[in-house]
Amino acid sequence: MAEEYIVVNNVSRTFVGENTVTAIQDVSFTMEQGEFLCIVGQSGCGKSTLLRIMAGIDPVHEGTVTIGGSEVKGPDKARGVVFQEARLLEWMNVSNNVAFPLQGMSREEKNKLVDEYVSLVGLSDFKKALPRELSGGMAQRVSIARALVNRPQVLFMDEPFGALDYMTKINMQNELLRIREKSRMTVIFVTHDIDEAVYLSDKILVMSKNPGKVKEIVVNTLPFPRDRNSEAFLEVRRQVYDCFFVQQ
Amino acid sequence: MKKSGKKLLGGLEYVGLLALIIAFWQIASNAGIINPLTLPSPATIVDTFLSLIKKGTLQQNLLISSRRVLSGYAIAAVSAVVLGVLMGLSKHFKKLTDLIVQILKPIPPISWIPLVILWFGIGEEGKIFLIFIGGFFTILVNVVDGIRRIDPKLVELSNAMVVPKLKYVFRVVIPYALPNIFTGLRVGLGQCWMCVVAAELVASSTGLGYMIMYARQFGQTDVVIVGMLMIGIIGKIMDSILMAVEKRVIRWK
Repeated sequence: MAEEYIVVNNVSRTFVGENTVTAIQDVSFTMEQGEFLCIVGQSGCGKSTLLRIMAGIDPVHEGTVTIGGSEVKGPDKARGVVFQEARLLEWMNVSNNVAFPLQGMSREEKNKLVDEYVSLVGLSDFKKALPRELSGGMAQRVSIARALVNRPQVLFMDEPFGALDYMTKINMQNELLRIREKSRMTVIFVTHDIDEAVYLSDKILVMSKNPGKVKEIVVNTLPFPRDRNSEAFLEVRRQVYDCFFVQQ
Repeated sequence: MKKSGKKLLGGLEYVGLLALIIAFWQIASNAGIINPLTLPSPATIVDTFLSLIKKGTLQQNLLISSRRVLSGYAIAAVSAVVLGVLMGLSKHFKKLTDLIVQILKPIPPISWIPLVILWFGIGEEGKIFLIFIGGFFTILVNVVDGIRRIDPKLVELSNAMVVPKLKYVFRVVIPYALPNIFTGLRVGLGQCWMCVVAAELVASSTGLGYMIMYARQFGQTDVVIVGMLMIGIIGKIMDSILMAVEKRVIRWK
């Protein structure tokens, strides 16, 4: 039995307002180091909320999240975040956007890291480009490089390819697998695309809605590289699909 | 059509109406429809303009007024941007200062004149103070507004990246607010021009405002109009300069 690296223990989140909404309730699960977890669910099931709590950017919640033995109490450089929108600073070029989270190091060190990660996402020829000159896919690559530049142990991705066209999305998925293969970091990836989840993950956490709860955790041991049209792939896909549409 | 031809046509469109008005004005003056004492003809105004330049009075007054505007404006711009950023960033600071700003803001700068004379006499300081008042609140309000409008997604991003506060302010918040800050700076500059004329009309023996007032007393309508047009033209030039600066600074738009 592998060690538990991330422990999510009875996490709940209630948004208090005119209508008080319980976004997620009593969510508990564990992850191993280096695991790729996809969280899938309908919109409004609290999957993004769960990701934000785990990443430490939503401080108001019940329950605990522990990563590598210490409790998550706020954002940390050891955790990278990629949002659905690239969220680039439009007044900075690609290099400076990637350098944005770097703190307290010499210019040479910074440049070296930036160059490394800009080329990792295949944008070496666009270092001086401004965000407005980039396509949606390129912008998201920059945001991935920015999340990786601090060499995080855990990468959080909140529907990062949700706004991209199908072809770009598939390219980005392959790119992400390649990057992850190199670094072996732990990834938590939120999506509503079942295909995407089956293609990328080691484990798929299926969430139910109102309030958001863990419905099922599907273990996905398909070997890489994966063939989206293979019988085995479709079998895992069906397993996830059934969580939504058969059990109800 | 060739590019140069298009450019020419565009230029013609830009000055066409003004040229037409001046032409009619001249024709009406020549025909005796307009009384030259109440509205001198364009030709007379050009003559007066040239003779004022020859005498050196126009340049001299223009220089004095411009210097006053730039001094008051510089103080207003710097203090309003600094204060505006602080007010935009800190809810407490905003709350602390908001009521004072809200009450002072609607007071027309001109109504400060009696106090200004009492406090500063009719020297330079008083005029610069009045110009400062004229620009300050407009710039302040725009800066605060721009800072407050910061995209929450970028706030969250900076938070997730654990970016230090100062870096967040200078690399995220201020660049994001720059378009608003520039709007404030441009409108504020216009208001400073209005105030310099007001100040010079009331208490001065130099400057374009004074030149206009003095000429009125002697019935020199042509000089009055030359003075007015100079203010308009210089205001337009300064605004264009500021716009060019804005374009250079905000290259990413």
